[in-house]
Amino acid sequence: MRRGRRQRLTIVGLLVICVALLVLSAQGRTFNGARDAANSAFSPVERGVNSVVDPVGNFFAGLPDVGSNKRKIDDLKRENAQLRNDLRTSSVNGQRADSLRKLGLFLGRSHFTVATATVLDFGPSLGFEWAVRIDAGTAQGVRNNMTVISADGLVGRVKSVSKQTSLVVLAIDPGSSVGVRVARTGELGLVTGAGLGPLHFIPLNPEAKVKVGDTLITGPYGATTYAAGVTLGTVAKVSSRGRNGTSATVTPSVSYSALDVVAVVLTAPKPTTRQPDLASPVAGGGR
Amino acid sequence: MTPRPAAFVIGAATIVVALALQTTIFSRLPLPGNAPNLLLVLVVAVALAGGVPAGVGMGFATGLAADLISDHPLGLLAFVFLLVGLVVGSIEAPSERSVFWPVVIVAAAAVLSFLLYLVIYALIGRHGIAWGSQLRGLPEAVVYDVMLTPFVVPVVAAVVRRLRVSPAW
Repeated sequence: MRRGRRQRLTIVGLLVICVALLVLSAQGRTFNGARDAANSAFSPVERGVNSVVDPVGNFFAGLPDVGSNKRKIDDLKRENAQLRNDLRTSSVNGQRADSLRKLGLFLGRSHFTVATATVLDFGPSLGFEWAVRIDAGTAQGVRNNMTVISADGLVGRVKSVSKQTSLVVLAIDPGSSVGVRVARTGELGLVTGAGLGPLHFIPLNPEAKVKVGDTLITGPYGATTYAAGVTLGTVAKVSSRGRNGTSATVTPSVSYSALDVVAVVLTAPKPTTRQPDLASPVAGGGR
Repeated sequence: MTPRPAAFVIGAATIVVALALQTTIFSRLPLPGNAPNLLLVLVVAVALAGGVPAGVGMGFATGLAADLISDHPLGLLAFVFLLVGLVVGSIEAPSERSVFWPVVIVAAAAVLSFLLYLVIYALIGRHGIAWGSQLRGLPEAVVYDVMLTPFVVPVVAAVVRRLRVSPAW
């Protein structure tokens, strides 16, 4: 019976620790020190796994062959594997070079100062926190709330930074909302994420005219400030219900499940026209 | 009798490997709706094989490790997985060799942890939760976790049997 009591005490102790941590978190403690230490200890492990199974898709595509082949000619197989591996890495490198080139072209036009990075991992939570970890941190000049982009458009924003890595909340995260502008008309609005579902766009003006195919770019509206002028997606469907006004679903221009090379916007150009009603100007946000 | 030190070492190593697999592979699989959660299935498997103490210990440690490398409030997954380990560990397994029960239990644990996570997150989070869009991922999560079960549960059961973890500290 003593054993049972000790067991119960231990369980209660662990529960108390959990609740204490949660209460401290709720009060705004972020435990950055512990998180930094855990991340710097863990990212080498991840890099190792990544280098073995990169790219993930090819790894799984290769799996069915493993069991079915009946140990044919070993040498031939080894040679084959070697060749195939060479091919794979070169195609991955080609892809990377291509997205870097596209990113470079895009950046040349945008006058952003950026730190480029690659995606290390997706967040390990239960599937409703859409965040990725990238291999750039304070050492590269990354700070909280900076905008992250790829060659195709907006990726998300930096939520926490450690020395060598940072966590990026994707624009499709259900907790994320992005201030946008309809490129064609200049109308402002808000885009909220819904996981892998389509993004949801609500214009500020309920009578704004939105057409299928309209491009949305980041604009000065909403609680969190993104660098302006980055493409977010195109309008896929417009629904105008009487009570709520116009709303639309948006197809993002970035493929969030295939993120690889990204860039953190370190400094964005000052907007050429000042917005007098701007709640939080770009220059003041999160520096 | 206390579990042998080997149990702790193997447990810790398993957590590190499972975390790495989860963040680099499982969370990135191009599956619709959601992603399988290896960590949850692992905690359930350990709790099924080792009972309450193993389940609680594994749940707490796995959750805390996952909390540390992700962005949600610290202690959230530790709490959720601890409760999963506690509940699953106290289930008297009807038959050890059955495939059916682990599948049912994993499915129930997936639902429980999903809802628990959302409730706690909503309680202490800074911003509200869009319940509709969040709950949409639940069926997929259950299906993917169940699909992992036949690969994880027998392996964990064999390892725990090898270690002869006693049902108490």
